[in-house]
Amino acid sequence: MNEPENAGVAARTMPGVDEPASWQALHEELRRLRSLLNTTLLAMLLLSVAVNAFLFYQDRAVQTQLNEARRMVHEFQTVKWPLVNKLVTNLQSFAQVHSDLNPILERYGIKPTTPGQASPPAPASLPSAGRTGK
Amino acid sequence: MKNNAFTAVLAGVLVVAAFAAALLVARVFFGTRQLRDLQPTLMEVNNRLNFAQALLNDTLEYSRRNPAIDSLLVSLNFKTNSAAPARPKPDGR
Repeated sequence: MNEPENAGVAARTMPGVDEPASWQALHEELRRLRSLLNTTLLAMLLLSVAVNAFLFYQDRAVQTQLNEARRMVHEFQTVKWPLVNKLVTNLQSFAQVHSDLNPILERYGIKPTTPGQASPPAPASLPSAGRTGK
Repeated sequence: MKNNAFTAVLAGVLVVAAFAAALLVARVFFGTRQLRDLQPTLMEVNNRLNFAQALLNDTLEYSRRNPAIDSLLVSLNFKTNSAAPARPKPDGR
């Protein structure tokens, strides 16, 4: 970078011994540059370790949430929803004999089966958003 | 020479750390995207569970008026028949 400057300065100040002075200045400059590079590398390494630690914890949190969501959906599809379907089908069958249950079924959009029907229809489709029924 | 080796080691560790950071960023990015894609399904699941819970509550309320439905609810484990022994026995014992 500024070696020619240093060399020129050395040549002007010490005309008789310009070569050793130039080398000494170069070595000094190189030592400083190396020290600066090492300091920069260390600082970047520390920063990188901090960023990696943050990313690691973020990754763990995201993976935990993802696994929980997948487990919830799987449990719903394999255990809970078939049970609800069974309940609705049984309620429809029960409502054939006890007609006073029909208002409750109608409130939830479940059509009662007619007595002559061979097999009960599938439960009514569910509301898509927000209904709690309360 | 020793200083050179130290610099090389530092640079090498930094490169490894950069690769690790890139890998972690990719994992967080794709994980977050999958989680975002699952959100509508989770909302639908919650809505259906709320619907089913409300239906079950009304059915349990109905069962107080008409105990004939108890067998249905017990068979699905929505209601236990533990309340039966609590009833006073006709002979008073």
